[in-house]
Amino acid sequence: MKIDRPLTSRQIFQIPALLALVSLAGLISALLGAGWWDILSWLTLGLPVAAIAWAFAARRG
Amino acid sequence: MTTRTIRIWYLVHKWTSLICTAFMLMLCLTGLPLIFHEEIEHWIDGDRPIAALPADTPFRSLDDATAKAMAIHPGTIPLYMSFDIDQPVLNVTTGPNAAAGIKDMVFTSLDRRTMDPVRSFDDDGVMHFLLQLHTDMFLGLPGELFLGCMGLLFVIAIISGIVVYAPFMRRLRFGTVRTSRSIRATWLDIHNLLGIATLMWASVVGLTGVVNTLSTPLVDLWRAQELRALVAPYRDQPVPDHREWVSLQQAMDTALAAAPGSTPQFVAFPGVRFSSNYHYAVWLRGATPATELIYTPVLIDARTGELSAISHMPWYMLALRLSQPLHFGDYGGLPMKILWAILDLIAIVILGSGLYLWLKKRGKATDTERFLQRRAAMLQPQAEAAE
Repeated sequence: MKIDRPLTSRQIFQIPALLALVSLAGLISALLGAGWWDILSWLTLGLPVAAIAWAFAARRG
Repeated sequence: MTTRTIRIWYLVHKWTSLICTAFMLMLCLTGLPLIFHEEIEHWIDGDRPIAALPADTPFRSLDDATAKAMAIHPGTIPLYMSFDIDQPVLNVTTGPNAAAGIKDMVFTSLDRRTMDPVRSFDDDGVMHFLLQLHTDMFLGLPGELFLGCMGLLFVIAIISGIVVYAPFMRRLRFGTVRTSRSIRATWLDIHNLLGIATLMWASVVGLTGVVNTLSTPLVDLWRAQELRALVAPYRDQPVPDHREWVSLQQAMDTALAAAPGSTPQFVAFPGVRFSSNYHYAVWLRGATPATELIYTPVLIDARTGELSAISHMPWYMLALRLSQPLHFGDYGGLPMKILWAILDLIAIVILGSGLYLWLKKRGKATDTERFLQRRAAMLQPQAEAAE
């Protein structure tokens, strides 16, 4: 999966930055309460894991 | 970024990682079962049997609990008392004196309604062994602080890893795993993908781990800073003997009346690290999810039973307190623990693949340098123009 034009730093870090922010939200949300806050933390902390699983399945170069 | 700065960041990443990898692997491996320590201990020991009594059976006085614990372990004095959340059980820690180390302490768990002893935590089990290895490698405070330094190197390795991620990814889309080239290229892509996707979790667990290793110095600092003014009036008085202490139940009632809506987390008896020589420190917990992590120490004069002060946790004690759940991953139910375990396994793969990449490259360092130089020189003008 080669790219003709080199990616800019912004393009390179777009998804990683999103994953980092979402993970941080998940780490904090479960501290704030139980119930829905816990469920939110499972979904958000699960996102980086899901991204990795997706990459292994779909992004083989 | 110039070739030179990339090279420096690359060297930082290489050396910080190399130094801490062996210890981080040990921490990840011992940490994995520790995530599930409650489940594993329950599985090994089974339910803790508690007498079936009517729900409105009143609790006995806390003074009965200290008397009972001292009767079971003659020659000891009470040091700490903690309260279970899910069972009407309290735990009394006693020892030969207030300065007793953890090895000389004995634990007595009592049913709060009957004062009958119930099974205590197993302190010699395999989970305890893993916890000791994970905390200080059986080396006490120096071991703890050493692991803290390793954690700091780990965090620097993450930061430098983020920086050197960019030059490798100029021509690869996020998540690309090249399988048609060399095995090394495949593992490099896996290392980069796993590392960049989990960096926030790894940073938080790493940093909170470092904070946890500082618990001894931070508690000492709290004693020196917050308690100094409180104990100043007592300077010329002898330290009260445990026979002179007022009733603990009375001290607890005074503390609870002063902070309505809170529940007791633990009591530190006079002379121990979490109290002063002259006070009962009753550590109260807020009643709402947002405040239950914050403890308020209420200090009760051990001779008179009068309220001396409602103290507060200074920022570093709060940081220490918050660092515990954020490191252990035990604050969001079983699904969170499972995610914690998956992320821990991912961290093991990152560490292992990093080591593999280094071993494969050793002796061929010039290749890497050439690659980085070529990348930087070739792509930099275009990349800058694009930004």
